[in-house]
Amino acid sequence: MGLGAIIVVVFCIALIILGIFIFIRIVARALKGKSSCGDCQNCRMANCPSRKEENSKNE
Amino acid sequence: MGSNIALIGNPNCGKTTLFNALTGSNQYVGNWAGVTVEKKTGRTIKGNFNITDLPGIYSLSPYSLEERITRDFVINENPDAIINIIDGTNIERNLYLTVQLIELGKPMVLVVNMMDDVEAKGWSIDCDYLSKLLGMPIVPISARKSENIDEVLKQVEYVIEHRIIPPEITYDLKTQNALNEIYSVIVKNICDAGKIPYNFYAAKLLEGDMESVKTLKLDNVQLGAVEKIVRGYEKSSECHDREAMLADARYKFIEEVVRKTVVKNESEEALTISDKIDAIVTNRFLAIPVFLLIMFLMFSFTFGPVGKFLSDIIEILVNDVIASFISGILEKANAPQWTYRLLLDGVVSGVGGILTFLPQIAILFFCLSILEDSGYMARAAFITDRFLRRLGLSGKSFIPMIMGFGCTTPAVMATRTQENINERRMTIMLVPFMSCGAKLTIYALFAGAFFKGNKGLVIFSMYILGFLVAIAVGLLLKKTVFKGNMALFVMELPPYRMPMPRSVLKNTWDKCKGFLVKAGTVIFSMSIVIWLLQNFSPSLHMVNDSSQSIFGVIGTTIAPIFAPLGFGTWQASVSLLSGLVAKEAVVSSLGVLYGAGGDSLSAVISSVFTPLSAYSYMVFCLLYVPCVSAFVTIRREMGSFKWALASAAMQIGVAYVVSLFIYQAGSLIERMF
Amino acid sequence: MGELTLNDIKTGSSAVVTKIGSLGPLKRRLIDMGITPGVRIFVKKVAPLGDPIEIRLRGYELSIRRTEAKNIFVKKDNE
Repeated sequence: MGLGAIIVVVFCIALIILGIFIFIRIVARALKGKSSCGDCQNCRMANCPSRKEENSKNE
Repeated sequence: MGSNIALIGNPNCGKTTLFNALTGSNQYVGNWAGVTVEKKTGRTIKGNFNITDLPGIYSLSPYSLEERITRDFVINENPDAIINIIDGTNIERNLYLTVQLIELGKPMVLVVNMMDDVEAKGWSIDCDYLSKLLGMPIVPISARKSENIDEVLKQVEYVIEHRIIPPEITYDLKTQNALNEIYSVIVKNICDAGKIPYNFYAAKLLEGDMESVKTLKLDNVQLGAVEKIVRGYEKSSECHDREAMLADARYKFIEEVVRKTVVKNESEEALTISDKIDAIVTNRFLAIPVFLLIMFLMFSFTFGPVGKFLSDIIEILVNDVIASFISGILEKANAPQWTYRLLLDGVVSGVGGILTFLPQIAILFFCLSILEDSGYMARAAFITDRFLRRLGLSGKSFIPMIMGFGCTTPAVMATRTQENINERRMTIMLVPFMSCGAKLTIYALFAGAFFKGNKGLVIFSMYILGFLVAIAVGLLLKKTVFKGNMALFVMELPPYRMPMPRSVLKNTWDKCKGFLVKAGTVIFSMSIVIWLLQNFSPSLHMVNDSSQSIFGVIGTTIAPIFAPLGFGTWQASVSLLSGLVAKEAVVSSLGVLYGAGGDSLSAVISSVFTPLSAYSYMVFCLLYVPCVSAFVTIRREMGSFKWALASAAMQIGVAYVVSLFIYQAGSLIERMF
Repeated sequence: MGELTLNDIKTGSSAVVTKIGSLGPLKRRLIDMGITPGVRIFVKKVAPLGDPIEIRLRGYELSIRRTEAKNIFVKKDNE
């Protein structure tokens, strides 16, 4: 395997890990009842974790 | 920490528009009462203020959730000042809240919005005199055009610095006497309660709002004394009704103020532009055809040549430019075969396949924004109320249902404007049947593959079917679960307004951004996970034949359940499962599983489905449970896990039965001819 | 009963409110919206299906149902 191929393989594995990580995060948040619709700009949901992050940025 | 300011006003008078102008934030605005259902705080661009945008209320004696949020905020959070925004074209009713806010004894600035509309009507408001009469600074603005916005903050700063509190209002003699007498009874308790002045509590006691005076902890002797005063007060009028009498006193005061400061030049029955539009839009005979026409135009615009053209451009970009770029790199690097499958069949087909729907989603939300901004939504509620009442709903359920065409999550939240709990629960259960924007991707794929000539019509039929199923289920629920309830339907019909291009574009862009974020996170991770599940066997070995994979095994197990519906392949079954995370994932899963995107996916689909089974699959996707985030929202808004589960179970059942019926009836007809 | 209610007022004519009937919390809502004794209400339009109705008072438009209109007692507007 050449250097290029190794880089590609490493990149792909990193992508897989990232994908799994995001997936687990989404599922975990959903199970905690904290799933957000990704539409924070328009959302007024009370106690939405994403919104809290956004609000704390404002402060 | 700066000063805390509460932004309060009637529903639909431009609070959120002002909030956005002051803070540079981009909150969602629409032209119907109750857009804002939760408070939101933001910092002003200029000056050192935290402004809290509160839901609109008509009065400080609240019934519905959003009205309580506002009242509790003012009483518990003790803001440094109140900005009361009123609609200049509807000044009398708007000042009713102002009068009650004055009782709270906070520094106040009155902002008279819609001054451009006031001028257009040929009215004039003498703001200087109004300011003298009410004892607070008045700032005339036009929030839509961002006129005079800086002046608002200047005045706020001024009233806080000099603690300018508007003087108590003097009502008619009878009312004033009753208030004074009540005051003498409760004076001791007020000193303990602090913050809020006596006028507020005395007025609340006089009108019989016991919830607001709980903090006073009055004893029975005091309550008895108050009751006696109230009875005497009621006797002094012929209508013997404390609530009506106090409201009347307040309105009398307002009428006097308005008479002195506002010049209206038209006779009350003169036709306004809104009246002229309404002559057609809410006409007895034309209203329903016009409504259907608007819906049809919206959908044909979305699925028409414009959307198709833009989709094609994105598809070319994804397939020809990005995909060939990646495969070029892989070839050069001499990378192993599985990386091709991961990057091209997994990520590019999954994420890229979804991106081709961006134009349609954008156009749909663009149309919905225009409808919301124009004021048509309230008319639609007016037109459909009688009909929806037969289903145990009300016209107010209609707005969430239309919003459901966009996204179920905010639509479920919009049900908060409904005061009746049964009505609200029922609306929440039916909203998911309104086909959301994400499901569009599924229809577009299948209708494009099988019903080329009638694509628009087939997709439109999905929306109609969803509506019909909602009606049927609504009737059923009314007969069984939600028996007999009388809700109220008092709703303001706002004047039509020209949608603000800025607000419409902003709103559309926000939705697109949400869609892109979702494609980058949820859909991306789903594509990877699906790819893994499809390429590894249960014993975690890489397999070449994906029917041996984890997904293949799961899919093969559950596929027989769907065989009677016409789509018993394992790929179709597991795609439904991934649709639980996000509806777009159904399409991206099929893309990953068949290793194809765009036109090539259409080709694969048309070889494994028949037109009938494709239609059946679309119907199932339309009706079965909404995505996780919608489910979580439903759970929260219902306030119970049981209700959310029940509604999910109901939806799956309905989806199965309807799809089964369509497929079996369809095959029967096919066999007959 | 025999008393005149807002429900009896023809489209295109107006009446003056005398009393609000007992409607529980709804009564308070109607009052807050400005339907108080003495106010003049113009019945503007009936929805395509016969209910609700659109009324005009205090310079703005409001939609209420017939059941609610039945609880708003009025007298003929002598203008």
